Amino acid sequence: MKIQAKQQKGDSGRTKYVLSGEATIYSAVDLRQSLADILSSPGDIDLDLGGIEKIDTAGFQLFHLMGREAGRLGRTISFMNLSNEAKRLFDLYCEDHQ
Amino acid sequence: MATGDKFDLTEAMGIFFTESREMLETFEGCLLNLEKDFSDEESIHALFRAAHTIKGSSGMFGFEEIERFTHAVENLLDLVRKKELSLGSELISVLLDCHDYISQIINLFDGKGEVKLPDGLALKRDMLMEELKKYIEGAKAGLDAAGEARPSPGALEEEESVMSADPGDEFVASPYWHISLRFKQSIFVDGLDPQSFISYLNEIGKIEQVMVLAHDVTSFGDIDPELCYLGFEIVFNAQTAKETIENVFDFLSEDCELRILPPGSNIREYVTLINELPEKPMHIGEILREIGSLTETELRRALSLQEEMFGEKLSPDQYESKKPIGEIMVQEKMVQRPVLDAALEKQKDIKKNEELKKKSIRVDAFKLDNLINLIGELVITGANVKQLAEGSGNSELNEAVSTMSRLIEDVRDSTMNIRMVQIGETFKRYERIVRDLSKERGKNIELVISGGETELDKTLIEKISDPMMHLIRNAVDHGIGTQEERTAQGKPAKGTIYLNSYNETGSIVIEVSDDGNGLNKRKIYDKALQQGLIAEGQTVTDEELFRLIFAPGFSTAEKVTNISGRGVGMDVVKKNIESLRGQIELESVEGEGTTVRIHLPLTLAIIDGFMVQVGKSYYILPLDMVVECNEITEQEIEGKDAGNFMNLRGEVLPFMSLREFFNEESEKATRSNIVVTEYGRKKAGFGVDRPIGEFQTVIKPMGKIFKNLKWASGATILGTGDVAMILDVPMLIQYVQETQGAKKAAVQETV
Repeated sequence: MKIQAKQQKGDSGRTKYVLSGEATIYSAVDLRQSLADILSSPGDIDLDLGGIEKIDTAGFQLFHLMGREAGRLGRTISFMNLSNEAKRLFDLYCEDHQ
Repeated sequence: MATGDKFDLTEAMGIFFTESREMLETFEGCLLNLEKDFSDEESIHALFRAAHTIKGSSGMFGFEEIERFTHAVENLLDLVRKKELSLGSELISVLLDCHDYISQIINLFDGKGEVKLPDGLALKRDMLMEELKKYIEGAKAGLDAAGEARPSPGALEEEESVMSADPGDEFVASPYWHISLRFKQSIFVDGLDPQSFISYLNEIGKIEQVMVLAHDVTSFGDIDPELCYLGFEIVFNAQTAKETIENVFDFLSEDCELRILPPGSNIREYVTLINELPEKPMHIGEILREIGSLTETELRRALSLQEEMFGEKLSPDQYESKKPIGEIMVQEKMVQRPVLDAALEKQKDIKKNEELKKKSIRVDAFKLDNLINLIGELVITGANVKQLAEGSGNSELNEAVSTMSRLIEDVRDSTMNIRMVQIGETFKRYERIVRDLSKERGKNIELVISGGETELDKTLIEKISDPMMHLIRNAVDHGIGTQEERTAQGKPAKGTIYLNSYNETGSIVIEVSDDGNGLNKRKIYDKALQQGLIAEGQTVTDEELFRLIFAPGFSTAEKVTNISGRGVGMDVVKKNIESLRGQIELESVEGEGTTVRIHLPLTLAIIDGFMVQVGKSYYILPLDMVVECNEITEQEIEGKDAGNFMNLRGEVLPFMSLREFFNEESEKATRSNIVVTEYGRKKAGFGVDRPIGEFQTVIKPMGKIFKNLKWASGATILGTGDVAMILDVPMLIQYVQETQGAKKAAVQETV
């Protein structure tokens, strides 16, 4: 399934997005677009990855680079509510999440 | 290392001693290699590594005495490695002494911990330290004189500083591997996902920390999402060989740059890593510190070394240029290219070896003996079951039992196999002995080893080592003459001792031969006469004469040396070999050399036997020694009055009837069978009533009452519960050969 991003109301001024679908090399182009869109909105971001059914290193790379970019822009992104798949990979690469 | 308290030290201590002894073995081996070829780079490097490892681990366990000493040895070897000090036989002797000293203190500390050295050892240490210092200073002085060395105001101070601040001595504290991965950008598109490889690491160890890097990315908007920008710095905790880790990424070898640093690597290796990685040195250094591969101090040291190592040659903008592994070392003239290649290759070999070693486990010999005893009981019970099953006439049961018997046989074989050890390791130990002895006696002798892969029961190997030592000493002392003597005889000045081992019918043969003087028959004869071993005018064959050598107190050496010549020896050797159910024989040609051949039985506890019936009794012959079975008629045996000889396809075969020999009283069978046996290159036939066939035989030692029973080497219990004697075939063959030989001679004389 293609990647989908939905905006939800977040806590205390943070914007929350819920991602679902596949975050793999096959959907990398779309995923990058979605993440770039999310980055273009102002403020700190919570990214709910509960709906990520599949993830590979290409997908992980985009989340990682997005986090770095946000850091450079002086904003924070929290990856939260990770699906089992996503959690496994984030843990393997020792990437922070909530 | 600061991490020592994490481990249970007492447990690890045992490993330290085992490992150090292994290292010392390598150390000695390398020195012996180097003695033959001073420029053997691989050995020099292995030598250095061995000293270095001992130093490192002794330091870790707080054995200061060992650490201090090996440190000095290591410093000296470092000079050799850098070609600032050349290796000669004198220095090798000193290093061999160092090896002996380290072995001694390791033995001393084993089980006791560090204790005060006895005066003798302390003296030895001081002398050796003095020697080492002399060499180190000599090398420095030589360098200064040649004007190549760094300007040094005082040679002594210089040495001090080298001793403490040699960069080769700095090792990082991290007990983990450091793995650095950089991928080709197209890796995702090529359908590869690094995660499967990285997560596989968790199968062989534990990933302690990962740092994900993305050095080329400036902005999220500019990236191509299908390309890989990531690099990984991984801190990996595993007890494994470098090769194993390399193998994990083998599949990716074309698509990634892999760098692996072992635990406790030299800080210089980290410097090289920092330099090679595409990221800025400061940046990568920080990352290494952050994930714990380097401590703060180590990082500072690394960065200053980095400047030292690359500062002069590279301008800052060249900093990030990539260099293949080792290039820097070559630039620094630390090593030359072929040496480096060899060293890398060698390192791989060593790792491979270590890996092989890791695949084996140490088991208490007692447990193994226990297992073998149990299997012995199992074999006997199995035979019993088989007997009962055959009696029952139940075909299904019989089928199951025969499968079980086969399995028991397999279990037995594999268990016996556990005890088999290659004899090569034992052979190698004699190299040092030959070297030292020949030096001492002013001779030039080389030891040539072959057949080191022959396997022998471990207990046998242990028990054979003393007799072997004796034979080798004999060869050095009596066998091979001095260089002058040899040249005068028109032989090469260098003498050779051969150690060889191979399998033969029913036995394993170990040969110790030399190309020396050979035995002087006249001398032996005179001496034997003098000692009353033979009578005046008695004719003796060469074989008989040589056998006298094994008589107690017999020695022809004119000079009693501290090595041999006292006459205690060959008889003890013979006794030792015979206690192992083995045999020893000697061949010698005067002026050409001597060969001592030891035949040993294959196993000790359980054998494949060949069961025969004589009268009402059962006897077992070791199957390995049985060559064939022939049926002969009674007339064929009866017809011979004097010697019992039969014609076996043109070969004269002495034989005897076991029925007569053992006085079996029962009806004579109309037909008789001859079982032809061979041991130690001698053959004999034994007449039996009925050959029964193969039988798994558990050798049960016989009680004290039967101590003097000559012709049986043991007994076994049959399935029926009956006892069968295991015939001592070698002994019987010898008996048959001798008695029949005498009869033959008698016949010839009367004719």
